Amino acid sequence: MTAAATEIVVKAGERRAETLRLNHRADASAMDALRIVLEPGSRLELEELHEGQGDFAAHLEIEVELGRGARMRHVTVVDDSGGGRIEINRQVRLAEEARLEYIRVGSGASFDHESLRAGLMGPRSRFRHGHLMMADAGCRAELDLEIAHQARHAESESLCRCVLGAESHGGFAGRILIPPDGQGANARLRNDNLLLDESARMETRPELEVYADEVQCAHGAATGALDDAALFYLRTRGLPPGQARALLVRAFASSVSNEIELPEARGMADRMLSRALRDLAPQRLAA
Amino acid sequence: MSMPLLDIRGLRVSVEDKEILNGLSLEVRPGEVHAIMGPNGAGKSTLAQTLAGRDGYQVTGGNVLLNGEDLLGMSPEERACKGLFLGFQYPVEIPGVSNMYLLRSAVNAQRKAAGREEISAAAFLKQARTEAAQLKLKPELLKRGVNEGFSGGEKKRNEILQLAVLKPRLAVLDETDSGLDIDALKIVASGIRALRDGQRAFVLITHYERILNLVSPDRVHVLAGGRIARSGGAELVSELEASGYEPFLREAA
Repeated sequence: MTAAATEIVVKAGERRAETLRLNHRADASAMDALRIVLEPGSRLELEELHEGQGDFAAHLEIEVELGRGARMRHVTVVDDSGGGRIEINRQVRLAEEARLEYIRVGSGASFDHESLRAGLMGPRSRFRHGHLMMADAGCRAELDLEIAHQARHAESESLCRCVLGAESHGGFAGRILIPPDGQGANARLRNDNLLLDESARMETRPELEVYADEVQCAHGAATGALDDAALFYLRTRGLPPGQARALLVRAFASSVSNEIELPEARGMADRMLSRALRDLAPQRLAA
Repeated sequence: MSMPLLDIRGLRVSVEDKEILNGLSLEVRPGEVHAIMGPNGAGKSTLAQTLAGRDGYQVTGGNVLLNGEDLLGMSPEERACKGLFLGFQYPVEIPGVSNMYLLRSAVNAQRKAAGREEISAAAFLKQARTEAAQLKLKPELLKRGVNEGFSGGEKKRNEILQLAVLKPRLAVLDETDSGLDIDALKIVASGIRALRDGQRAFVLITHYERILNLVSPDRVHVLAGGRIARSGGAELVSELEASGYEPFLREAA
């Protein structure tokens, strides 16, 4: 693996759009550390596109700093065609009135783990987060999330959706932390999981840890199979069961994937979703 | 006389080992509108769900022919492609699947099964908008998730929109008139009337006289105790309004 560090600095008041293409191969990894700094009042649209082939193992450390009033829209797509391993440790910190929207979709890796630590360090900072993971056939996908409301009147909203095929394993550990300094926090955390096969396993642990008095918080998780009533409804309209199931899975995923507005990431995510839907145990989808 | 479009003979159906239909027979010919009335729990919805092929409705006897073909051996989607449509009593909400996308997927799936080409997106959009306007459905409901956040009346009109777009040979409408205000009821009734053409047939499952005043059925049946207890013309409706179902329940017992 080649060790490399990359830094993106967006100067105060500047607006930029960047696309990072990270190709992971068995013999090389493009990058293992990335630091992104948005100076006060700057804006960045970032597409972070990971493409994996073969039996690779990638480990990335990514740091994102948003200065006062900075705004960032960030989309990460992890599309692995070969079943490699990818681990991302991501730390994001938001200063006063900074806003970050972070959407992440991934599929295909044999092991896909993201650890995300979001610190809402400044008052009235806002973090919006969507995470979609799809795992199939012996694969494992995990999100380990902590959102800390370190300053007053910060807002966070996080939705994690997981689609699990046969023999796959999903994990969600999500925690909202509101220390005494986080008065006036507004935090929502949600995890929904779709199990397409009886052999799929999901572990979910949504948590709230609140030490402030005046907060609005909601958290919840739901795990289940495809809705039989919806499936039957679609079939009575003439849709074959495979198509009906794929449509319902896509609809489930769309709560996250439809939020992607950056064009390249959107295109890549759509292609990845189509492939994942084809691959998600088609014999079972057609059953 | 023409061959029945729907021919149900001695149908027996159990749900969770409890027999709901016990020897129901019914013939519906092309162009006819049949009304099925009956008290709660008589088996009306069981009949509708069984005809559409829902899991859990176990056929223990009898048979059903659609246009001369064995209906019960077909999957739900095959039944749809052979021209059967079920209007749901409780239409299902499917967030994330747009109403328009479902309509077009359904039309194309049925065209594909018939060996026909897919309809173009533009041509279909035009057709769907026209049909929706006739049913006084707001255009934005075509873009929204299937039945997502629709009012009760909008859901029922959306079923009729699907009916209008799919143009089935046989439509079984399970309490499509329930929960509609008088304006919505008129819209639904005119949607049904617009599709009557001498070939297409309807089975209206209903509790109320009012839709039958607007659609004028050829035959009216009382379903009680799991079978057709009485059949007649439209005059049977007013008799029912006067007597209630009690006499039929006694007959069926």
